[in-house]
Amino acid sequence: MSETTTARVEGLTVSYRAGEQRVVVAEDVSFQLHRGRTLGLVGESGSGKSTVARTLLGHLREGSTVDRGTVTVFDDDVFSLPAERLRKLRGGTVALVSQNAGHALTPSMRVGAQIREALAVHGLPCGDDRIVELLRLVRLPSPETLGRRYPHELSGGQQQRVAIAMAVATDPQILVLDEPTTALDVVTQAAVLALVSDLREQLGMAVLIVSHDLGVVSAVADEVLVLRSGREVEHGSTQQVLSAPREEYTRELIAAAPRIHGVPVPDGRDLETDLILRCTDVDIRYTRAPQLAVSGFDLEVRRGETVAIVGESGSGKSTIAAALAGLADVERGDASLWSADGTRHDLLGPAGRRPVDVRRSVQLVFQNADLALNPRRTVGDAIARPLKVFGRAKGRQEPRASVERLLTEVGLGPEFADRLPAQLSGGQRQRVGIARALAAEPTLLIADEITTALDVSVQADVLALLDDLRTRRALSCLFISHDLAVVRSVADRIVVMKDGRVVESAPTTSLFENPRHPYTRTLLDAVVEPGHTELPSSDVDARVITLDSNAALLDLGGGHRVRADEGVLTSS
Amino acid sequence: MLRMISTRVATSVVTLFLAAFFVFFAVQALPGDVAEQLLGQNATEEAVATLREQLGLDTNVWVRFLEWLGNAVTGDFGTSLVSGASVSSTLWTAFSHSLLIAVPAIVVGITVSLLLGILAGARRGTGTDSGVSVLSLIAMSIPEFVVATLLVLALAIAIPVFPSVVLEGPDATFGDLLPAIVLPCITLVVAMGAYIIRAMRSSTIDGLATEYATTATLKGVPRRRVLWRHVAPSAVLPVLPVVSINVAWLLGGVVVVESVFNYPGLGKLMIDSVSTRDLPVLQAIAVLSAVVYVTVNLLADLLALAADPRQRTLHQPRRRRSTPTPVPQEDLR
Repeated sequence: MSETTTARVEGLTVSYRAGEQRVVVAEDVSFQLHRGRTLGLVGESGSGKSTVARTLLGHLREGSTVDRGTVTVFDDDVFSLPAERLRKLRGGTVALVSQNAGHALTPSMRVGAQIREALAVHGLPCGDDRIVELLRLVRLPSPETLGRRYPHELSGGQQQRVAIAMAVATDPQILVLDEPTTALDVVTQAAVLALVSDLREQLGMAVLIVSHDLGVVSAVADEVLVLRSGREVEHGSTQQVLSAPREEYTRELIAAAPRIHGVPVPDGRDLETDLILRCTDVDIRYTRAPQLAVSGFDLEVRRGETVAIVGESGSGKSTIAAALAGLADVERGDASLWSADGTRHDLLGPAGRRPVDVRRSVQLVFQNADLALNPRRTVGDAIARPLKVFGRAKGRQEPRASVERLLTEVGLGPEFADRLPAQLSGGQRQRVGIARALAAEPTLLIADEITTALDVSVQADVLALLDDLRTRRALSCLFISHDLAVVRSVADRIVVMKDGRVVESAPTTSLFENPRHPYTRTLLDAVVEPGHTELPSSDVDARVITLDSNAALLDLGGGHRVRADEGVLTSS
Repeated sequence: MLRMISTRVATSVVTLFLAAFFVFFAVQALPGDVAEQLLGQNATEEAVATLREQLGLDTNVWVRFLEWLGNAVTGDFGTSLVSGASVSSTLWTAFSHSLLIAVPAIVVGITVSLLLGILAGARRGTGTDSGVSVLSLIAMSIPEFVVATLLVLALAIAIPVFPSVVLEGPDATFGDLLPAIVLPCITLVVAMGAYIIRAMRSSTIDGLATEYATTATLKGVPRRRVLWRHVAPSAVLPVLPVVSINVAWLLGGVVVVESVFNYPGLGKLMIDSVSTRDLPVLQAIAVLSAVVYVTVNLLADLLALAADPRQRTLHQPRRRRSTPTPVPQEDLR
């Protein structure tokens, strides 16, 4: 073991028992961690990457066992440590930051107390000044008072920073980050990744970062290990793996990552001109909320056009989806929908009071497909339901045929009709969600963050499907996302929102070529992608971009409109 | 926060008013009136009329309701038709006797069952767990009068340590009753404990499987501390309604248990009043049970508020789905 090696995993094989069989989660995985260096563990869900990472803390899921191989941290074999030494190792020598800080922080304890506990159980000084110091280290706002808050009072990014503060509190030698940014939006993700890099330099830790996204890993890791079904596919320096991948699988992963740097801007398409949706000056307020969730929202969607609404969480983008679907009340403004024969419908009332035809015309695909499908109904049932409700298929044979046609259209095949949602993967479930929405033959399809919960490789397939549908079906689609890179390949036009207001709206080409609003530029800077390693600073999510409440939208020509806030006119 | 508490309190008051309303008018709706029942079938018309006048039964029913309600608020429930004594004093004596067995049963029962539940959940799959689970299943399936009888057989007859029944009537003193409360107490603990144990056990198991429990373990927190500091406070929340229902049931007069032991509590008073048709006493008991139910549920709500910081902000508008709470703006600016 060389001087800088802090941990060594050798020939690790982990399996668990399922019925009579043993299922292998990881097989013959080997790597080393070095002081001050970062290793990225990349793979799709189910590749065993989290299992491998957590063995460094001597943790296995219930029922799993280490069949072969060793995990050595310094000179200790982790799995043969006595209980008390293992406890000291956990959090003391090796610390973990897990995927979803919202779930990883104890809801009934103040965040300061949770950080204090991490210190106290390892016998370290845990006075108030140390807590404040740690909160400041992870660049949380008002560190003096933030410790008194409960986890639910913080935003997702702040929760993840608290989790990181808790992990680095004991000055661990090794920091394990298990999908630390998957639940965050792009700007926060960039900030958290930059923070991790800074801390590694400052504290001289060895870092293991686990992610399904090669972009995330390449932004912070010196070395990359690609896993597939528990086996090593490729292992090498980040530079080498990204620029000259040896394996086909690695190439696929690299290709799947959405990119904005160094790739040509998509050309605009010629579209039919008839309008199907127009919103003017829409204000939405949640019941009794002091502030408007969305204010002065304007939007036009043409037949066959895909319009993307992009913004961070809390920007009001999903509220608009809810309002158009009739699930949120609109306080003021107009929204009209035109059906194919040119009749105008009002799109403001709640869903329950809309005529059947209007309800059919607007269909939603939800972010989380496993929650949006009834676990007790087969896929065929789920898709046949809108067919029957809206009278699209009658009798016994017809729905079945339509279901099979729809399943084929979304790339699944008729044999999926009899399966239950639990038997499908995340990407397949999302395809079922799309098929169900298409079954109603909507005029407008609203896709609300439909790829956020998916692996990068699956996301690429779903995006390709949407792209295919928009050309084949002339479908109008409202695509909601927090990531500009994701919408790039599917959107004809992009609307960027912040704090409930539209800040920029432009055809995809002009938005990427000439982003005008400072917030749009922040979003573009925050995109991480394979090979693009410059990260914005670690406080990018707290950067002040003030919206002038009186600012008007300026028309720059060619359908490019931008809100006249500070910083818009001064630069290019 | 304060607004939430006051809303809950106000709702409770309204509930109580409605309860009193229904109790009063249900009694009014009974066939025949108190005067006829008191004087029996052979009474003359004049005698009934005179008694009605004495009792004030000839005035408007709404006036009587308001009068009764007004008095009830000040603790005056009129006089018993049978004994002529003040209803409230009879009621308070019986209620205090009931409290004498209920309070120790509640304190011991809740503490022991919550602890046993947590223990069984934390040691899931071990001998302790199966032992606790099987015993609580058995306790759940045996009716309380059987438990009471078995206890009497064992601890009053086979090994005579405690009295099997109370021989003193309603005017028994505290000292007289003290040795007699043990067996009813145990019966009640057995009857209510089982439900709480089972609820607490499954809630603890869920709590230990959460990501925050894993995170705490992996930051080096000892297992015991993970259980008590991280898991228990949240795990107790779903059990609170079970506890409050049991407590209310217990305080509302455990008719069967008190009858078995001939214990002069609220339950016994109720049975006696039913058999003598003492309507003012029955009305008072019904209102008192309502008060107990409402208060206990209110307490459970407030306890849940104290134990779960998330509930304190629940009055904020619900999001369509659980997006992370937006960053408080003032901190960023």
